[in-house]
Amino acid sequence: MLRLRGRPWPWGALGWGLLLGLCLLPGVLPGLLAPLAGGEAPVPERPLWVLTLQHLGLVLFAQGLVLLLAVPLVIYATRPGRRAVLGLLGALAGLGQTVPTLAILALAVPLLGFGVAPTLLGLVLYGLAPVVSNGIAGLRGVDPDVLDAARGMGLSAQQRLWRVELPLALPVWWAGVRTSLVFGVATATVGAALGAGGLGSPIIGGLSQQNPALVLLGALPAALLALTLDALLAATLPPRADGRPKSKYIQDKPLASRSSPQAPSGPFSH
Amino acid sequence: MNAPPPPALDLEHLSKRYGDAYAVRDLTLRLPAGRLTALLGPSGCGKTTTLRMLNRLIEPTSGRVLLGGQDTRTLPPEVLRRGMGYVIQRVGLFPHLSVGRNVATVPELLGWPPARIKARVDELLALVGLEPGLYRDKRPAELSGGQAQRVGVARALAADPPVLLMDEPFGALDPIAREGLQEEMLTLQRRLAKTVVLVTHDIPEALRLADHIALLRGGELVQFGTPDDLVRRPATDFAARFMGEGAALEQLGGVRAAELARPGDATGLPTVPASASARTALATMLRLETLALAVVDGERVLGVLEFRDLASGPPPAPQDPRC
Repeated sequence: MLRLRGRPWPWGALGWGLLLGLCLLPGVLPGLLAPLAGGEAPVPERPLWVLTLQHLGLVLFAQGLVLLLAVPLVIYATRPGRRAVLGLLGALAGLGQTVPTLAILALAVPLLGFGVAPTLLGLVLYGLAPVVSNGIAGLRGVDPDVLDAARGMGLSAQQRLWRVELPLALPVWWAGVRTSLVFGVATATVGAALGAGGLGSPIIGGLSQQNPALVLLGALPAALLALTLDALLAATLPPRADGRPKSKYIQDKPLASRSSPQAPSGPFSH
Repeated sequence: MNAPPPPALDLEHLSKRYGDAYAVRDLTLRLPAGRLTALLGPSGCGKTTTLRMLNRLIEPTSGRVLLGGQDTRTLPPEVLRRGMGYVIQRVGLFPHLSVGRNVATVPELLGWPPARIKARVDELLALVGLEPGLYRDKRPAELSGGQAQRVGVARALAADPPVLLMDEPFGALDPIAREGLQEEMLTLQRRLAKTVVLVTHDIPEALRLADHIALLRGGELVQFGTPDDLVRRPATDFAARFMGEGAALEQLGGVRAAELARPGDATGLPTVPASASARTALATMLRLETLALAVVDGERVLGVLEFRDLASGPPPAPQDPRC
């Protein structure tokens, strides 16, 4: 999926990534944050880089599950003659996003107990919404004339899907994956309250000890991780399919805000 | 190109019903092999539905279509469609693929070797008047409407299908681009002699391009005949009204002055270029108040065109356009 040929270097991803790396060097971030805690450097329960990898692993695993679920579901629902399924799926995706993350996590605990499982469930449920709705928007947004031409030229349903529909839907769909992943990084911090570990644990610890330095020790790497992933996905966003000249770099923000109702917004867009 | 001779299309008692309403009703019609037949009629007359039943984008409620004598239902729809070029008004080029890859679509589906596909793409782009080196790698979004439809035609012709289906192919173009493309379509058809079905509501376009016209109304056939039949011998009041008083004049727009010219003494006559249409020649006669013109190609006199030659209409179409 890394399509960097013919594009400028993804400076954003590189810059945020480097900054994140710097923060994870032993002692760097605690040293910087020490003044906030009265000169005493905050100490995480495990090394920061371990927490970050834990966090990233959790988010990526959840995202993998999201894609495994969403891609076949969306393709199934957008085939002709499945209007009812499509409506239902769209409504569920919308609903999924209106339920607060914390509520999903809290409801999952009685079912799954504490630990990684309820967090994963929350991440998957919450992450499905942008991927599903952008997938539907992307596939439904394919020009009907293009599909008619494809059908009239003798492309089978499968050939139309692979050669025409998916390539044309990919930019919008990819924007949904980007949103989902970035929100996932934030959502996963809440999981620490359920004992899922990750960068949320210093935040939770800091909150209970009323230690802002400890909160920032988790929050800053989490934010940098989100920014890095966001920039990385923006850089690998497939080119707009409507045939802008290849040389023109695709500006991520107008594209995301135009083509997708689920574009990343707020602190994660730049 | 040594393609086998194109097949005729036979429509037998073809009907399409939506609920209680017939879009097409008991249509029996032979679309002659190697000729361009226009399906002409007002909006909602069933012409597009008819066209889409030919390549089974719409399945008929009853009746059948024979392609060169073979029932089209005996073929898988995809196979049937790959043998019928398909051109639509809004072109529908694949926006994510280059012009060249768009044209290559059907040959790719048919599994042609890459070298043959590449050669064919260049040949076709040249055929529709687009310099291959210049256009092959462009994106559809970089093309004008006329250029896009040229690519659309090239894409439809890519695998050299014996049949070409066109649904108002020039309807969305500005008048100049439209006339240019119509002119090239005529030249192309003289060369390729495919079985072409052209859906249009544009009477001048039908008169200009078609060897035969099927006039439809309310899903039923009103008249099938040559353009000359429809202009001079309308079968019904509707046909006469639909073709209108201007039809005879429009018909002359599709004929070159040179085609009507006869040998004769051209001394002292005003001239008209051979490439001009008979309609232009008539306008010249009216303007100069003369009953005869010399048809010239540069300095060379090709013949004399008299007013009564215009009135008697165009000569009958040659029996075999692939001479």
